[in-house]
Amino acid sequence: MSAPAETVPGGAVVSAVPSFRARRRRRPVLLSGFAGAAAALTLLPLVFLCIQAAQAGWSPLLRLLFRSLTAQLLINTVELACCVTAACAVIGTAAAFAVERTDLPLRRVWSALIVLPLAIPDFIVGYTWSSLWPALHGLGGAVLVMTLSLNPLIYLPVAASLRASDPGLEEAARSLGLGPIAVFRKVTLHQIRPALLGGCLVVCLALLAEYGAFEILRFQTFTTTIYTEFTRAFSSSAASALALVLVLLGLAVLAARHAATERRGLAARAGGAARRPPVRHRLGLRAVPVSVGCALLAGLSLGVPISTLAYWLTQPRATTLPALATVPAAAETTLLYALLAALGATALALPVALYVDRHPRRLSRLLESVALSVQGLPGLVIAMALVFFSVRFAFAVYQTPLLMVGGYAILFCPLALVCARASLTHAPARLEEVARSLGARPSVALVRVTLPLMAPGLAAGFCLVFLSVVTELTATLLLLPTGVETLATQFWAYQNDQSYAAAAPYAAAIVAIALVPSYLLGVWFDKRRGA
Amino acid sequence: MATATRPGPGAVEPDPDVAQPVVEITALHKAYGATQVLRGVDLSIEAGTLTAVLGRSGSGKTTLLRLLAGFERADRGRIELGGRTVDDVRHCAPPEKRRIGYVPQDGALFPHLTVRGNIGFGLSRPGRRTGRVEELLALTDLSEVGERYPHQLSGGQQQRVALARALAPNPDLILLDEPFSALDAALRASVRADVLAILRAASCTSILVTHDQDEALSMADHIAVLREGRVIQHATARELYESPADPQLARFVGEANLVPAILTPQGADAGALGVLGLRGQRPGDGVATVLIRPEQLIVRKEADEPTGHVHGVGHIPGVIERCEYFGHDMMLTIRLRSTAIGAAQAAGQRLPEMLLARLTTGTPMETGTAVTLAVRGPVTAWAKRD
Repeated sequence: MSAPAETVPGGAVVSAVPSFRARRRRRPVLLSGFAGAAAALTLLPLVFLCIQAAQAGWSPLLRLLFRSLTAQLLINTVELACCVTAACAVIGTAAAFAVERTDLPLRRVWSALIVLPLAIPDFIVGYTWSSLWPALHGLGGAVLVMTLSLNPLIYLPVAASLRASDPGLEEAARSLGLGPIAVFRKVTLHQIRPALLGGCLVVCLALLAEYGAFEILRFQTFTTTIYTEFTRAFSSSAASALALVLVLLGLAVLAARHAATERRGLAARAGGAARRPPVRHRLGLRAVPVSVGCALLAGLSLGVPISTLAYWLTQPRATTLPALATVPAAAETTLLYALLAALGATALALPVALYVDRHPRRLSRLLESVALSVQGLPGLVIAMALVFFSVRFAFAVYQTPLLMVGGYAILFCPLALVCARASLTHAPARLEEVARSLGARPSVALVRVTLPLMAPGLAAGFCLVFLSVVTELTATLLLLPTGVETLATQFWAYQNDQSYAAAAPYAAAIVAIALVPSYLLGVWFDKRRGA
Repeated sequence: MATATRPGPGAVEPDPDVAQPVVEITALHKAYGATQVLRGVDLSIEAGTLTAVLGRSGSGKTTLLRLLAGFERADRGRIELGGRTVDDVRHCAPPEKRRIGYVPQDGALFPHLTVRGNIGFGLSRPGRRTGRVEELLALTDLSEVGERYPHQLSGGQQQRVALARALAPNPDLILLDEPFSALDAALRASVRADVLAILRAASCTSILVTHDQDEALSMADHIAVLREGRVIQHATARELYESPADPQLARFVGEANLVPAILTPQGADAGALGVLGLRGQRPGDGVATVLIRPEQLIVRKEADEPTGHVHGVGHIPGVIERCEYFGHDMMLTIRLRSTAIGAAQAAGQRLPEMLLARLTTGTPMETGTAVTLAVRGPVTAWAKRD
């Protein structure tokens, strides 16, 4: 709303009391219709999961849930989540502090090397470690691999928060007689806490959703068990019962993250006034051990997967000709699906973002929450629900590219939505109003003003979805039409046969394709940082 | 464009011979949820004039502007623009059908378009090639920066681009929403003068929303004061300053001394300050409040007074308490001598302890100087209702 607060002394009243007065504003029929349809589509998997579970009946469902397997899976999940989150939090925060708050040499290089592992899918990291060290499996292996893959998820928000926080607070603490360590503990840690907490919960979500890496490392979690149950007995009620537990866990983590990021918004605004760069700690000779630490992290998380891939690529005897021949075709399929899915996710996200930004009221906020709640659903669960749905109610779309692209679009709609919402800060409603007063119809104002201003953010969301589709494995395995192969499914087939060398070209192609949108995203974030 | 609008009920064809009001607002109401913002605004604006809508924060002035522009719908009442009904609750013309130019607070230039692109936004494709954009660039003195982007412009230039953009499609009415509040004080005066000159040159009807009474008084032909969602006075700047509708408004539009007095056929009897002549009609009999503007007080040093003249009727003694120097003039806060207040109280009259006086800086005055005060010129009085 561009109307300054003065016109509405009780600003909150406007949305909180939808009396008949509220209806006096122009009703966005088309926009709310599209947004509602998009939200309904994203809700589809959850609804069908519940239908499927309910059809099994309550007593068998409860019997399936209250058995030792569920308890074991819960214990595995909690153990893994605690270890990985703690390790990622320490590593990510330390790396972020070193890069953002010290005079460490080559900071930009380290930053890039620490973030880049995000472009390598976890199942490829798992494969490289497993091929390098076949004895690595179980909890230890899972913790090592997931910590190395997921620590950028903490590094990124903490580094951003360190960059944006007000250095004045730390200076004030120093002037009050606190030493550097006390300042970090009492002031800095407090400032970055929301970002750190949010990052930890994102790590938890990723752990709940991961399938491929755990399958390779032979570590049993909800996803691996659900996948096995589901593929063994096609519409197994056991799979849907466990999936319901997984969904509840995911939604709980999502709710916690929502609470954490709400507070992050406040903290960022409070420090927003000061645009002074923070004072960097002088490392002196200590720069040597810090650099060694950064090099170790980069070496383990980036160097090991890349060099292992390179090793397997150069094993001529193991690389069979037919394996290589299908790489271009699989790459083409992957690219096509990724493009279509990115378009689909953006198309789903755009009306929801516009509706909630331009007409913030209870209904629009609800639609946005529904669309965002998909983040709490693992890809496996969404794919499973879509299989149920198509088999039962729409057999025509079962095993078609439409269902695959739709599945991707639903799965990654939250990424596009978050980017679209962020980009709307560059396209305030005020500009649209000015365009209207200059004679532009609403659709013309959208095309000539709002969309061009949203373009960078929409493009970022597009890249993010594209990247996610290229590196997606679980939903792809379930939803891909028979006879069609993507890079990920081909890789998985060879990897399952322990044909490491035959799988390597596909893994290398995935990493190579994923690096392009990652690079573009990096450039975009750098630009935003400068602005 | 005008023909595309569905005429509301009671729409009248504009008669070119009679000077029609461009804007006619009748009993306009608007609430946000439970908060009533406009409570029956009536306002009529003549063609070719600049009208300021003056009000404090929360008085509803921005809401009025948004209703005029068509960004919000009214709850009750009617808005007519150029003889067409654009909002009578049942029918509401969308913003793009109202032929209104809107200049928002911070300019709100389209950041992805150049100055030229911004100005040409409201013109049709062929309209952009008729030289209209160049005409406006010249009018607003922006020809040099036509190819620049908004972020490459100064605050004053941005404001001129916003005005040129609003003027380009030849609107019937220009709305300016506190266009100078985002500028720093040094720039404000010059941008104000520029904008006024441009509006006069384009002979455009315009409405300026502001909370700055100096801005309203110096720029506008007419001022409509908005308070608690109603227009409490609509007058020229001089009328508003000299005869405000009530004491509260008197304080709002400038410094004011409010002195109790008794209304008599001869004028307002302000006791020790003498019997003061009234401006306009006598508003009744009995107890009243009179407005004495600071520049109406004659201040003389007590030492300069001829002897025997010191404490006569119409001359009241006091001491300078504070002296604010502004360069072109100065404002004195004068504490009346307790003897004078006591004498007035004995006569059943309560004088204020302090009076404000504005002086040209010719006479040097200092804190602590003993002075006598007298009133010149007619005053405005309001009968006390009790």
